[in-house]
Amino acid sequence: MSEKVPVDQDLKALIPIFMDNREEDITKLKELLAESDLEGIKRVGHNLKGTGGGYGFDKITELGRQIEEAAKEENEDSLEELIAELEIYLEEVEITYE
Amino acid sequence: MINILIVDDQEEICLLLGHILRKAGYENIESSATAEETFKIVADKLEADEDIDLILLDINLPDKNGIEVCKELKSKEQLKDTPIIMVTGDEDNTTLEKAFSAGAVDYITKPISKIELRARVGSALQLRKEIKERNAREKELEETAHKLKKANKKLEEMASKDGLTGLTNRRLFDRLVREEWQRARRNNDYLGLIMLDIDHFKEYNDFYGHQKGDDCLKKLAHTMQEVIKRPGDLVARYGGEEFVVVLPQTDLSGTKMIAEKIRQEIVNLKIPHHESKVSDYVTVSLGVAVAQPNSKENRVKKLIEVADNLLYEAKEKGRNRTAVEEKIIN
Repeated sequence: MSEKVPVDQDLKALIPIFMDNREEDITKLKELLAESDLEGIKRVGHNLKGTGGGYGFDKITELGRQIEEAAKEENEDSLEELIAELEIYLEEVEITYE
Repeated sequence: MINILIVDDQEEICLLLGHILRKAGYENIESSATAEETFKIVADKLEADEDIDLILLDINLPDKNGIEVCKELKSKEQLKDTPIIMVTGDEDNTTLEKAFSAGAVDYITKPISKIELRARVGSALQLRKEIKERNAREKELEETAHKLKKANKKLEEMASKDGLTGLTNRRLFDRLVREEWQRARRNNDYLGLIMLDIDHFKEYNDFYGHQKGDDCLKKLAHTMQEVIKRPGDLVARYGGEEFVVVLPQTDLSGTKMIAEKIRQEIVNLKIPHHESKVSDYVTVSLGVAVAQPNSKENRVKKLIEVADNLLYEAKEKGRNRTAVEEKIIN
């Protein structure tokens, strides 16, 4: 089941860069988790929280918030799940421009 | 041309903000990722005398606290009217309050809503536009007020000074001499008056021309001002070639002496006067009268009249001399 996300027409030109950056984020998060660098994960989560919704991806903001929280609570299991969820989301999301 | 500066360490935020604003029609947008870079950009712009119309400032910068940056920016005189909108995450109210204290006018929360951004930017820029216009009007008003002051001063001077010689003019003299009479009466003092007139001045003008005639008047006025130096003493241009000197607290012998001094100094100028029947040089005739006012009525007109009669007498008796009324006028 893929998610359909409506994105503001005006932002169309920025989406490719945005998506590239998110892929980098996934790689980074996995690395950080392997090293148990919770501070680092918290920062990435915080940034995701702040940036996602602006481009139209409320889900990314939400996941970012959850990742930030889990990192604070030092819940590595939860983090693993959340990172996986984010990865799947990014692969399957369908963007419609309006 | 509106200049906007976006400061955020996340490139994506700068991209997004810049993009939204460009689409909204704002063309001159610069971004910066650190406090240091921001200060440099600002310094460069201010040095080049360029305006910065709006700053969007991230509250969390890698090298300095955003609120500190805001404070520092607002401390610059040139950024006094530049609105700063903080870009915040999940800051609490205390932090937001600090931001406002530091000079921010508004804040916008991440994730950025396009509509909110445009609305806040729009209103901040509108306010700035109006402040700039008001400042321009104030400046104009100030300049106009200044010009008005200058013009009034000039007008005042023109109303009381003789344009050619710089001496007090007849209008002001008439008022001042009346006041001197009152003062002399109050203090039971003498008031000396000298009326003087240039000998054969019409002939001088006819022979040498009016330009030289004017020069002659100026020279004589200057000489008289050199002689009459006490504060309170007055030299005025009474008519075309007539002058009057007012000497408060001066008795008959004192006034006589001054009159003679003036006459002598003018002769000493040795201004050639080919058409004078009296001398090879420009000379003056003088009439002297002194009052010791004690009547309630202001009789300064009488004093002037008497001095004028004596001037006439001096002319009759051959010019280049002083005629004196020995009787003190009351």
